[in-house]
Amino acid sequence: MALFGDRKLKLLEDTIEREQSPLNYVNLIKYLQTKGNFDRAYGFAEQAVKDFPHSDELFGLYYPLLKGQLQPQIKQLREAIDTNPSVNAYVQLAEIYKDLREEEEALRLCRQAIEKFTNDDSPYLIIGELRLLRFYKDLLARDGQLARENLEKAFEINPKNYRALLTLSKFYLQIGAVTKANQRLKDLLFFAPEDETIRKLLDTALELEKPSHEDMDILLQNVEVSRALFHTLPGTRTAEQKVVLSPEIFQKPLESLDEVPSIFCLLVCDDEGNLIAHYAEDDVDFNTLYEVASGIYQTVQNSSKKMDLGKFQTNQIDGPFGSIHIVASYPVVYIVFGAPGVYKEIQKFISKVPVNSTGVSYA
Amino acid sequence: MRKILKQLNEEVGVKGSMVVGAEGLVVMAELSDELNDDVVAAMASSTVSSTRKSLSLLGKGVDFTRFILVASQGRIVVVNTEPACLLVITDKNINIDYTLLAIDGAAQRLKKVWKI
Repeated sequence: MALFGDRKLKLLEDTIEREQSPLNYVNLIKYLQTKGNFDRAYGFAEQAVKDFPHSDELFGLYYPLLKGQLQPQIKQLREAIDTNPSVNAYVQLAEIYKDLREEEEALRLCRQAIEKFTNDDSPYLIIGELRLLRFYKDLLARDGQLARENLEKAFEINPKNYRALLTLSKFYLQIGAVTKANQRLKDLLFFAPEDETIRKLLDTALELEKPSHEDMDILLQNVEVSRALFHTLPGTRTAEQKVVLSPEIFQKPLESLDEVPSIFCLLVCDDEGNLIAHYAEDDVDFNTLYEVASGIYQTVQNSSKKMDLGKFQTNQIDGPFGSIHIVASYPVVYIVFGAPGVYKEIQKFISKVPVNSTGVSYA
Repeated sequence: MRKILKQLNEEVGVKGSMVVGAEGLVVMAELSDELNDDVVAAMASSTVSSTRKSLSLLGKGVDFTRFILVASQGRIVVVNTEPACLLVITDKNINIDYTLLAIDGAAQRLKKVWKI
């Protein structure tokens, strides 16, 4: 084998050279992983997420590989925390977990740091940034509120915390709290008068049309309801905006369900639960199922939000009736009534639908 | 009952667990400090009762055996242990199959408690 080199690897690399696509990268990275060549796999994964920053599958491969690369640092910082705990060690480790998108671990470390070093601003800054990442991703008011509280706390402890002030200023600008943004930008100018970034943000704040009020709760609610920021600064990735979905694009995949006996009924809805298209076996009362599904969808959306679990993704309910699956592939939500263990069939179905995660039809 | 919940909470990624009665009232809760007890309890009871209400449209007495909600930052697993339900809140980054085994084990032990 070694004499002839690794033909499959060569083939996968040639394919990438010819056509850079998420799927081709995934195949190559997975192959390198199975061969234990993690460094090369990491190299390709790093390039892949730069080329395709919207591919969840690539990020799913990238983060564990990145974690592998950062393992010596993680180990060193863990030892430092065990033997000689300092706020720096906690915060550095939390930052690493933040970069790895392991938010729970990052939050846990920040909370521990706050318990031990109550008057340090850094853990608050990181919690604020983590919440802000969630906020920009899901556009939920509660995340924005918690991000603000923690960033303001960091600023309160250390009024010269440049990162906290800059992050706060951008946050305020983007939700429409223009006066508050101006205030924080001026706070920044006080100790960084020559900063070009701040000057540009101040210009943006001046150009923006002020909303009729600047009540923080209302502004955040507006963002959540409209699913759009008041103003989006360059470089901010947010949740997708509302799109109009055409029922026609689901027709062909829905027709193919005749050959899937484990699915009795499949409802295609928008993310507000409005029905767009459906499939139901002849003897199925689809109106009742839609009523059941709507109720459950509202419940799970509400629970995810109020229990601070982030944006709803999936729900599975098993019982004597079989299985009900609700799968959010925003902006589309699929609700399936079927036999137990039907999940794989649902995934197959979703992969046939020519809509990407921003709602744009491939057709 | 409290012992069962406490043991369950020691599993990796479990942030809290509670027993919700047939009427949707919280019978007992063991939640980590990071969870807001009042909000979580209220929402847990509302989740269980609203789901049951929706399912009742399928027929009288129709109920769920298990309910798993996955959100971007965590999960809720509810197991019907008639007459009450065991509700568990977990991190998003867990091996769900492994945790489900632990949850099912706790649910079985709770069922025995009801029998006593």
